[in-house]
Amino acid sequence: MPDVSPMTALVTGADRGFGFCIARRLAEAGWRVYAGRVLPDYFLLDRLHNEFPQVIPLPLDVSSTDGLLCARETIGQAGGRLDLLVSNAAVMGSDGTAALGGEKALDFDALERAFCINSLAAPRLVDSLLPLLEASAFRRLFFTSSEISSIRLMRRRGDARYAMSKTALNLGVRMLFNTLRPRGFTFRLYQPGWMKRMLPDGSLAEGGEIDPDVSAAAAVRQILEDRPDEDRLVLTDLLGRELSF
Amino acid sequence: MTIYFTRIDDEFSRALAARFASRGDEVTTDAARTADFFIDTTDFRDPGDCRAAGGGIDADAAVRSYHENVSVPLALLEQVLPHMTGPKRICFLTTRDASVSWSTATHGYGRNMAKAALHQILTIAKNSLRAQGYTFRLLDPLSGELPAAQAAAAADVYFTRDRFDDGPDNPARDDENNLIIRDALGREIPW
Repeated sequence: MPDVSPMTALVTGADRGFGFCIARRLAEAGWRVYAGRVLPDYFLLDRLHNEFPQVIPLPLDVSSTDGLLCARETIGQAGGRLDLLVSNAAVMGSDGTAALGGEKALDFDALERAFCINSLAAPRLVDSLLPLLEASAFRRLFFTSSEISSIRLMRRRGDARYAMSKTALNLGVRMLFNTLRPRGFTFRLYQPGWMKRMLPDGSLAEGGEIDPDVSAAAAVRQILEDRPDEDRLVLTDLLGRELSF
Repeated sequence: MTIYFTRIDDEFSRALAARFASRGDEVTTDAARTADFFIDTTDFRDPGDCRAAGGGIDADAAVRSYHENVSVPLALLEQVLPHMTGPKRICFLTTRDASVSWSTATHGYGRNMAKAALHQILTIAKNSLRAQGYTFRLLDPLSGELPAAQAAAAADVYFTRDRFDDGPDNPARDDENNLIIRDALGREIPW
């Protein structure tokens, strides 16, 4: 019998903002969405589940081995197939004036924590979920990167932590691409722009330039559309423009 | 000149240190000393950091790789920076496996991602420290492909030459303000 179950996605970091908006847009398009949550003071996913019962909030700390195993087990038991992974979870935050040679020293614990969550978690997620992803014919992997991952475009003189973590992410995605593109996987590496922060009630804070839902809409378009050349790994923005690495 | 090495514990670093010493330069691993050159020779490869996607990526090994390849050398650089003099040259080893554009690696997530992160913070450091006279070099010694002595000779030339020459076709590259990666055969590796 043909598999008529809905297309299934896992979206990490879906409590709020860009991840939440991607989860909502996929749900509106009829997808079953496992929505990774980690923030204790955000309940937007519960409201989304009430509106779209096929949105399933899933506690998921992407830096935790137990969390990854639990996600694999939950999704596996429900259908055994994962069509799309949206790897979006990240720890934000600036290290302000910290810089090599600056007055404020680098915080190496924070650097390594950012590496675990923002960089390493993405390949670990794919590694853990690969049997479920390979059960799908769609096999699409989406990663939230950033403009400041680009070394070529880098103009900062400090505050390196987040930038370093996203550059490392890009490299991790390249390595996944090297292994999995020959096995039919397709990749989206996305720079969402400087988005407004979503507050617990769903409203948007003042800072930032872009409504996360606008960026999510563009991201979902890029997720759902095939590209003429899937054999090139590219970093794109919400207008589909390529950024150099 | 005084040449600070983060470590002199393999064939490449010993050969490179010997080249400096043979010219009468003082080689040290004491981070409290004044130094003209800071040379990080770390290329830490954790035995567990060896699996491709689907093979069980070892997170602990990857984090150890990051710690050894990024945190430890940068902490040493923070110690040495205030005491640097002369060309104030900061040299790091890297690998084309850490080039987002070129890498063909399928395993070694920790080491390669760490080196990519290093590329970024060195670019940011160059942006802030260049005006204070610091200069930077990033080299892929092609370890495993070239004999260590040959790689050390190439590193010696690349690290000590004040301005590198890309030839007449690309004069903008002959510029200390432009941090790039070269390999031990002189080829530029894109980010």
